[in-house]
Amino acid sequence: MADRLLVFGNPEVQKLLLEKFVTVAGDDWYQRRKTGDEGKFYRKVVEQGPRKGDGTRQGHYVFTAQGELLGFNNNRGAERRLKMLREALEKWENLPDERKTASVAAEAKGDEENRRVLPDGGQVIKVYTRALEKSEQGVVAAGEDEVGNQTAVDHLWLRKEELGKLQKLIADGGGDLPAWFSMRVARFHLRDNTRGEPEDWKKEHIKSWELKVDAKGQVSGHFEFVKKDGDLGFAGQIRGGMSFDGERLSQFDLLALGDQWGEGTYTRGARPGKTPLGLVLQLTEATMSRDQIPPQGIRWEQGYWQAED
Amino acid sequence: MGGAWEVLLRRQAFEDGSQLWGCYDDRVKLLVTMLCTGAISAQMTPGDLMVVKEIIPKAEEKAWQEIDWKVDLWEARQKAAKTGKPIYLWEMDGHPLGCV
Repeated sequence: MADRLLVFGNPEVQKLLLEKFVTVAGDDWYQRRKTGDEGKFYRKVVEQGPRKGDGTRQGHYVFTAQGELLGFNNNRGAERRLKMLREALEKWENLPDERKTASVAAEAKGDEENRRVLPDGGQVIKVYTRALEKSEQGVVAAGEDEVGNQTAVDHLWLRKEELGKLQKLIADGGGDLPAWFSMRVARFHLRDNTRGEPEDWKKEHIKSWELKVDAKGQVSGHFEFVKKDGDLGFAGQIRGGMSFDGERLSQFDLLALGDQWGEGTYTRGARPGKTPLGLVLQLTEATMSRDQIPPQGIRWEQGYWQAED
Repeated sequence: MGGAWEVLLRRQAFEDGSQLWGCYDDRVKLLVTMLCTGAISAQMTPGDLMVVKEIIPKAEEKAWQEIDWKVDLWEARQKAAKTGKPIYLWEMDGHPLGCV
C-alpha cells in the first residue's frame, strides 16, 4: 500500500496525527453493510462528502465525534494529505465547543452481523506476502519502486478448540494436517494479495495439495492452485514448524514459496509469466489494535471456519 | 533458472554465520537464534531464513505503525469524545492496514 509507505511513514504526517487526531482505519466492505448504531454514524459522515450512494466510500475523512465532516480527500502524496489535515484542523479549531463534544453510548448495537472478532482463546498468525525475483544472490524481494512490490499483511485466525486439536495431532506422532486447517490456509491465505484483493481459491482450483506435520512439529507440504483455464495460478512448497506450550501455540513459522502467475479482477498489473511469490506465516501475540484486523477471507464467516466443506 | 524453490536451494550465502548477524534485523536474528536452539523447525533451512528476511516488512515499511491506529470506528468515536480531538478515518475496500 503506497499510502502506508509514502504518506503515513512521513514524520510530519505522523506528528500531526499523533498529537491532534484520533486515528482509525476500516474496511468499507463491512462498514457499508452496517445498519446499526455504527453504520448510521458512518453513513452520516460519508454522505456529507463526495462519495454518496451505493458505490465505494474509499478515502480519507476528518470529522467530529458528532459526525460533522471537516475534510475529505482520496489523493496520494504526503503534501496533499498534510494540506487536507491542516485545513480540517483549522475548521475544528473554529468550531464552538458544543460541536466538538458528543455523548457516545458505551456500545454500538445492531452491527454484530458485520463485525468479526477473534473468538476467546484464539490465536493470530501474521501472514506476510511479497513479490520476489530471482537474482545472482538467489531469491530476493522484487524492486520496491513498483506497485505491488511491498509486503502485504493478512491474519490467519485459529480458535481455541482448533489449537487443542493441532497440539494433540503432534503429541500423537503427527500426520496429515486436518482439512479444516489446511484448507483454510490453502483457500484463504496462499494467495497473491500484493496488488489488491485476491479471490479465494475454490476447491476445484486445487490441483495438488499436501500439508503434514511430524511428531516434532515440523511442517512440510506442496501446493498447486490453478484457475481460469490455467491463466491464474500459484504452485510451490511449504515448510516450517509449530510448537505448543500446553494447548497454546508458542511458535509457528511457515514459509511458502512458489511461482505465481496471472491476475484477478481486483489484482491487475501482474508481472508477466511465472514469477516467485513468498509468504511467511508467523505467530503474533496480537497486542496491538492492528493485530486484530480480521482475515481478509472471513467476510463469509462460515466459509472461513469450515473451509474444508 | 528453475522455479523459485530450486533457486533458493542453490543459495550458499549462509556459510559464514558472522556475515549473517551483520545484515539482519532483530526479527530475523530471533528466527536464526530459534533455528540454532532448535525452537524453530529443522525443516526451515538457513536459505529459507534468507527468503523470510526478504518477505517480512522492512523498517521503513513499518513506519506507519508509529501512528496509534484504531480498527473500530465506535471506539475511535468514544475516544474522540473523551479527548476532545477530531477523528481521522482511512477507509478502503479491503483493510488499509492489511492488504496492499
